[in-house]
Amino acid sequence: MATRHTMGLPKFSRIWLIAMRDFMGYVKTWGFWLSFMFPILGGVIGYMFASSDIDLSPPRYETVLDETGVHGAAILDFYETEQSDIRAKAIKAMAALLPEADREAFRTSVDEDGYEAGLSELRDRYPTVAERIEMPTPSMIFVDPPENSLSALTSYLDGDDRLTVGDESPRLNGVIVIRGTVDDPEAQYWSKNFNSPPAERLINRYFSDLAKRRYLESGGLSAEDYDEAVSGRTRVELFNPAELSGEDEAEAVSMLDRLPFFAGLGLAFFLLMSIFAGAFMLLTSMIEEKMNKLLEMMLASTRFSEIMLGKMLGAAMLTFASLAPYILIALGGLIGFLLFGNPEQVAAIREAFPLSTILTSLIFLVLGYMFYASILIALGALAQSMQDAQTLSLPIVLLMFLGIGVIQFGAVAPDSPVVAFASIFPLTSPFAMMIRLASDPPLWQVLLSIFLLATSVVVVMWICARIFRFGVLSGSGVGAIKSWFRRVILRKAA
Amino acid sequence: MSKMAPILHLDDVSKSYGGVPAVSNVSIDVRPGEIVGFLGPNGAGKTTSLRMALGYVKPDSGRVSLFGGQPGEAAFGRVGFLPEERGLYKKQTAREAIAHMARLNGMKKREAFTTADDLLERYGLGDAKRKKNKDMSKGMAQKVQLLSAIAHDPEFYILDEPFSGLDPVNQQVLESMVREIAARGRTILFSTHVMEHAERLCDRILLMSRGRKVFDGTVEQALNHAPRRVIMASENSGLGEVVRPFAEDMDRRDDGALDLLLKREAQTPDILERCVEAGVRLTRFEPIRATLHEAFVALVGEDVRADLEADAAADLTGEAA
Repeated sequence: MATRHTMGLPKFSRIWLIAMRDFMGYVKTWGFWLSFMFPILGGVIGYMFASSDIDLSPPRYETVLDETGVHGAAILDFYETEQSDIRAKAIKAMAALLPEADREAFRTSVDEDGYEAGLSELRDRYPTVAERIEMPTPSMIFVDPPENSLSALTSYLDGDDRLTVGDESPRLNGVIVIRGTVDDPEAQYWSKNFNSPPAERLINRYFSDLAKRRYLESGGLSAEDYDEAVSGRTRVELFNPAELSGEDEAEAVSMLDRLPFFAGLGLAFFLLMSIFAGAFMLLTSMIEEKMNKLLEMMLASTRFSEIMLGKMLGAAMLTFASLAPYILIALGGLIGFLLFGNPEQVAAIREAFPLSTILTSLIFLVLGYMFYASILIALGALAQSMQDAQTLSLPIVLLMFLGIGVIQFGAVAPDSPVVAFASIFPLTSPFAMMIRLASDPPLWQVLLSIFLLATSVVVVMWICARIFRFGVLSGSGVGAIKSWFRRVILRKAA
Repeated sequence: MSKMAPILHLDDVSKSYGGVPAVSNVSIDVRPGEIVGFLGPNGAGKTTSLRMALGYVKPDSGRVSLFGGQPGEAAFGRVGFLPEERGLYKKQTAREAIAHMARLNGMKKREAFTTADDLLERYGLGDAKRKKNKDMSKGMAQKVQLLSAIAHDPEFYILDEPFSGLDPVNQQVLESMVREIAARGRTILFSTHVMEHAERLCDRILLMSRGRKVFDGTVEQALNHAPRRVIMASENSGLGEVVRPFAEDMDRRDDGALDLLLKREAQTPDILERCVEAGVRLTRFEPIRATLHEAFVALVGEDVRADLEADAAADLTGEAA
């Protein structure tokens, strides 16, 4: 027998032991490793698809029956123009890989001479860049109608008859039918795929453009002139008053300035995901503890609060471990960018994420997690089965949906009074304040929010520790709470 | 703390749940080196008393002192507690389970695992040390949990129904463990329904009934409360008539002998003297040693009967309503 140990370990050691036991209990399961390996498996599967000949979205074969003699051909021309524009954009995007001096001239030549000229230029002057071009494939291929009536084409749409396109026999996916007159056409689209098919969208774009042209021409104006006037319009620039200093001209808000906002949005979602992921573990872990009857034995050497904190830490560690591949990829990318990226952009990122913002975000992340985790542990302690746990956790899930609402609302209106209130109200402040931090809210609001959230965490943990203690020692569930409520609050006989 | 100062002292403690008293004005002392049996029928208040002793629940009134102070953190590592309802983490191995509890009680990791291995070997579970708890028999799992409670070699052992659920062989093993622990001068308080264990192991017995302490003393003192019996037989007829004044109750056994339940004031020499005077020639005179079980029934039997009757009456009232 070992020698006697007089006093317990420091508190954190016991918290750590409980956390590690919970953590390792889950890490040793297949489920954990499946989720851990998911990004790697996803990458492997994606690579397999990319390197195979499997076409996940093959082009659709369409045909046109035109009774007007004008619009059928015009629709095909319209589609061809759109496809040329798409290809031209793809070619112009390659300008980023050219020497800076050549970029603008290259873009202009593609605009003026078309994508084919641009492609030839790239092949002649920059063959390595030309090799990297991935030209977008069209979503539709138009063929001549194999029959001249809709009724005769039905067997093709049903797949009983096939088209003949070179050596292939593809199925006809849809028929565009234009009836009426040139001036008053009617358009129909016949297909078995009626969930937003690309041909339907094409017809709508064509007739929308046609309506615009006819209207402008009725006033003696040309559609091309109108489009040019619109493209040369004055464009609004966004400025941040925080960037204005002295007489210097401030720089307009760029994507880099928006980064902290997106980061706050990402952190708010990360917190939400952590609570969702941890919630299930905390609930099942508590039910397991209750069924194992080990808690009572542990309490002879551990405080209630240490068990609660240990479980919270274990669930947090598990969540982080599950997300570790994603976090590592993101961190790797960030570190790589900071080390090897454009120095100006690196400096801008450093400026956009001051240490104070990072620390404040971490405070809200930790407090928010503790707040919700302690509630879930208490509910788990009251539950006697998974059904109980699901019923009890429903209000918390609804609260978290409120969090999602705040995130969505905050994304479009971070400074609205509702989001400002939500960033101080403890139930929603962890989510809302993370989004607001990017827009530099008043310091007193941040401090008040931290104070209220920290106080709420202490109060919630105290109440939940009592519920936890009661749930564990009584061995009973929600019924006991009801009985307590009747007896103490309603003053009815036991 | 002086040598004889109690390790555990419950001073006039009471506790109610939902207005229903679970423990009423109970005072208990457990002194260093004692083995104390905590007996009582179901619902007597034993578990509540033990929980108050450990500081899990606070008494509504009265005072609890453990190692001379408040129960709780100050006693961590000094108490080994085996609760009545027990279990293990199913996916842990036996050695992990024991080492985990030992580490929570303050042992270093290496020492905890070494101790776990030693204990498992010593108590016949050496082959199962890497076996997961879910794959163990109930008896093995119970032994592992007991070892988890005692691996840190505490000063004070509180064992709530340690023998329940064990087969006779494992009960014997557990009894040896308790003796071994006691031989090292440790203090043990255990609750049990198995009177034979209490009788064999305990220096002192505490008997609870309906939330009250109804007896606190040695086994011998407890036995004095048990009814005394004598088995008698004679060659003559009329033995029954002669001894009837001494008997509370009297049965004729299958072998023809009389089984007398003696009145409290009856003395065996007086019975013998009366038989000689009446000319009864005895062929058998065998005083039967009372058991703790009989003492237990004598002390709390009335309470248990009253509880059963109250429950039956409540059931009837409920049905009528």
